[in-house]
Amino acid sequence: MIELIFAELYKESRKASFKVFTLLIIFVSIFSLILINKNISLESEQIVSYPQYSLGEYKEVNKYGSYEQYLEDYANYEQIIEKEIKKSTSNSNSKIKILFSYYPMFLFAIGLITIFVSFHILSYDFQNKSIRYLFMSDKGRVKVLFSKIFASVLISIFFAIVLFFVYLFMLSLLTRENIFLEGIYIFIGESLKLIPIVLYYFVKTFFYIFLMAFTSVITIFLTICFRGSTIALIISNVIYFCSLLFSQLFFSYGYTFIKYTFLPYMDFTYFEKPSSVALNNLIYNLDLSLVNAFSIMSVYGLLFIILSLKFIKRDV
Amino acid sequence: MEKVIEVKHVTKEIGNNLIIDDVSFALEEGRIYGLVGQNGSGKSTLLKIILGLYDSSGEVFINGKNLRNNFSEAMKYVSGIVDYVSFYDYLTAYENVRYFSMVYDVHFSKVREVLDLVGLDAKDKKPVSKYSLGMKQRLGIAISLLKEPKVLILDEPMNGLDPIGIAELRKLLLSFKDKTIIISSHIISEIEKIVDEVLFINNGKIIRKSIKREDDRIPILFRVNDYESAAKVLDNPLLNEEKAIYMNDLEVAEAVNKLSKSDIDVYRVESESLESELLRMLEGVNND
Repeated sequence: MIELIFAELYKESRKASFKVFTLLIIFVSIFSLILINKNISLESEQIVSYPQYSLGEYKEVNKYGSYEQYLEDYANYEQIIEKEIKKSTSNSNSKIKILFSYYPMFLFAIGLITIFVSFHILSYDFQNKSIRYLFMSDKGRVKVLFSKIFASVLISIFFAIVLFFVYLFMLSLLTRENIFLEGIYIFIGESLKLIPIVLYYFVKTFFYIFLMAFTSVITIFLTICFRGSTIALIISNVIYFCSLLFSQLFFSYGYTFIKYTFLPYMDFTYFEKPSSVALNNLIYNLDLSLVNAFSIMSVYGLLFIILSLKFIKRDV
Repeated sequence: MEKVIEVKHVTKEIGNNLIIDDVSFALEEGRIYGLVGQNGSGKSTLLKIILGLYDSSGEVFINGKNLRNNFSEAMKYVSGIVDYVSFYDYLTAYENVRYFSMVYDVHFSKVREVLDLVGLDAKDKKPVSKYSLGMKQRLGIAISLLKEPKVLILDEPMNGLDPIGIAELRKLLLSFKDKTIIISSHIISEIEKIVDEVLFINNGKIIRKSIKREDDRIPILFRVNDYESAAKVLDNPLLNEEKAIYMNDLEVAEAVNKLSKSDIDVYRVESESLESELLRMLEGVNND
C-alpha cells in the first residue's frame, strides 16, 4: 500500500500541472497579500456586528423559528461581541489579524486544486487505459483506489502547507512584526481564550484538509462512476461551489432534510464568523455547526468510499 | 509439461450478448500460443478475463492459483498488454517503468534490466508521447516483464507496426524461452512464424486447438488427381475432403512415395497457412 502511494506521488510530482499549481499558490498568495496589505485601513476595520432584524425582516430572512427566540439569541450575540471588544488588546485589529482573516479563503481555493488533482490522478488512467496495468498488479483494486485517495489528499496537504508557510513569510515581511506573538480570542467551550494566531490558523488548516479529503473522495467516486469523463470534474466543481446555494434553495422550499446531507457543510468559510451564527438563516435554522459537519461528512465520505469500491470492480 | 493456465467453463456475457461461451482449455509452460479469430470473436475478452480485468463465471487458474479466490497470488504469474499499449505520455520510458516498479513492488534495479531487455534506452529523456508505436509496444512489454511473469499475454501486439517493428517484436518474443506467451493478432501470417500452438476462437467458443510445431508437424495440403484413391492409400479420410493433414517432413516424403507408387499424380504438396486453416475451420463451423 505504501509503495502504491509513493508510486502515485512519484508520478504526480512529475506532472507539469503539479509544478504549475505549486507556483500558482505561491505567487497568487504573495500578490494577493501585497494587494490586500496596500488597501487595508486599521481604522475602518471594525469587529463586524450585525444589526438586529425587525420582525418583518426576520420573517423575510428566516422562514423557520420564532422571533422571540431570535431576539434572545441576538441578545447573547451582542453580549459576546461586547465581551470580545472589551477583552481584546489594543492591537486587536492588527494588520496580522486582518491579513490572516483572508487565509481561509485561500484554503477554500486549494479545495478547487484538490478537485483537479483527484480527478486527474484517476481520469488519466481511465482515459488512456493505463488503469489496466494497475489492476494487473497483485495488490488488487481496493489498494489501488485507496492509494489514489491518499495520494491526492497528501498532495492537497502539501499545497496547504506551502500556502501556510508563504503566508507566514509574507505576513512577517509585510507587517515587520513578530507574528508568533500575535494572539486571537476564540471560544473554547463557553469562554473566550487568547491563543497564538499562528496556532489558530495552523489548526484551521487541518479543518480545511478534512474538507479537501472529503472533496477528494467525492471526486474520485464520480471519476470512477463516469470512467474518467470530464462530467465528473464538472459535477465535483458544482458540488464544491454551489452546494450552499442548493442547500438554501432546498431550505427555502421547506426541505429541512438538507441538513442531513453533506451539501450545507461544503463551504467552511461559512463558519468563519462564529458570532454571526444566530443571524445567518441557514446556519441558525438548521443548527449547522462544524461538529455536525465533521460527523455528517465522515458518514458520507465512508459511503462514497464503499460505493467507489463497488464501482471500481467493474470490467475495465 | 506443467500447466500454467487452466480455463474451466468460462462464460462471459456483456449486456445480453454472450461473448465467451463455456470455454475450457489448458496451456503449458514455455510455449507460445496464438489466439486467432475474427473481429468480435471474443479474443480480447478472453484475454482480459485471464488478466483479471473482466469478471466471468467459471474458473481461471494461473500457475495453479484460482484467480477469483486467490487474486493476489495468481496475478504474480501473469502480465500483459490488452487492446493497445498505454502509458503516462508525459513521463519518460524510465519514469514509466520506475512508476510501475513501485506499483508492482519490484526493486528499482529491475527497471534498467527490463528496458535493456527490450532495447530501450533508460537514459532517454524524451517523453513517451514522442515514441513510435514500436517503441511503445516494447515499453509495454518491459512493464509487463517487471513482475517476471510466467505468462505473458499480448493482445494484437503487431497492430500498427511496420515490417521492421514486427520483425523486432518477433525476435524479442522468441527470446523469452522460459515464458508462456499468448498472442492474439489479426495478422495471422505473423503469428504463424512464432507460435507453437494456435487456439481458434469463433463466437466465443474455442473451436480448435491446432498444434503447429509439435514434432515438426504442420498442416499439409496435397494437390492430387484422385482424392478418393489418395485417401485410401494414405488411410486418411481428410484427404478425400481435400483437407490438410498434420505431417512432418519425413511423413510427407513417405506419403508422396506411396501415392506415386499407387499411380496417383501428385501435382503439388504445400503447407497450409494458418489463415487458410482458420478459414477452413470457420467454414466447417458455419456448415455445422
